[in-house]
Amino acid sequence: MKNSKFSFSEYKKKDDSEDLKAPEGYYNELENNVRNKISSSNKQSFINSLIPIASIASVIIFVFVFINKKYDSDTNDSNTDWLSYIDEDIEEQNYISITDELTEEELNAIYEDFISAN
Amino acid sequence: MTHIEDLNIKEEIKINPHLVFNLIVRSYSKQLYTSIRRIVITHQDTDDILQETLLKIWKNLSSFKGESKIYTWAYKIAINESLTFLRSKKRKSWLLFDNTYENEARDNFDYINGDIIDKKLKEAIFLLPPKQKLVFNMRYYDEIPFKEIAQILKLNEGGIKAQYHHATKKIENFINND
Repeated sequence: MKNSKFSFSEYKKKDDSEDLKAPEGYYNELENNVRNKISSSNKQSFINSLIPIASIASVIIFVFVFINKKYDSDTNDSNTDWLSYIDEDIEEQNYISITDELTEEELNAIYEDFISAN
Repeated sequence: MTHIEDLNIKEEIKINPHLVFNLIVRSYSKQLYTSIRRIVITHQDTDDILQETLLKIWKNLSSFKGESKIYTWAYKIAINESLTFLRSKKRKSWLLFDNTYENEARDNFDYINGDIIDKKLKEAIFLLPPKQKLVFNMRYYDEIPFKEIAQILKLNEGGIKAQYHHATKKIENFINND
């Protein structure tokens, strides 16, 4: 065939399965590798199935903790802290109301007293 | 010992999928290995594809409808895995100008027994575009009817025949012009 042209109609097909043989002991190794891959893939799918459950659980826990903290802070405020806010408000309101009530003459008198005193 | 051919596969999958899977691995691994290796050439790549094929067989065993023989179904998965592999290698070597795969595969032709024509034939098949290579190997070596190849590759029969014809012409030209 070396000098003649190659053609499939004349070429005698050769069984190539011997050339394509796997190395010695390969098929036992293959079975083990596939078994390991299947078990790790099963673990992975189990973990994957847990992800949505874990996400929902973490949202529930977060909401529960947040509501609980908010409730605690609200109850503490109602016990003592709000009194000081009210005191400050009253002082501020008094100051504003006193200065608002003074006339220009009274303010000038206060200013002159202050000058003469210093 | 139970033989896979003796089983009513569809029913057995429902009762004992592990048994069916073990029988598939033991009965068909060699045939699948040979078919995959003809396409991808190196042992390492064949091993990766065969493992992936068996994993897919296991995951999809319950979806086997019994419309074809279990070997045809397994073979179809192996061929599709090989095609995915060839496409990714081609894309990678084109993007990275990386010819490692081609060089490694060419080194493997040295181990092929037979005369220079046999080696050239293997090289010519290797150089075919992925789909043509599959069609040629499936028809020429695995002797699968055109109709079945068309079903496996989801193409029409006429197209498959044309692909095979082009492949044989390309191979003949490669060997005669080299």
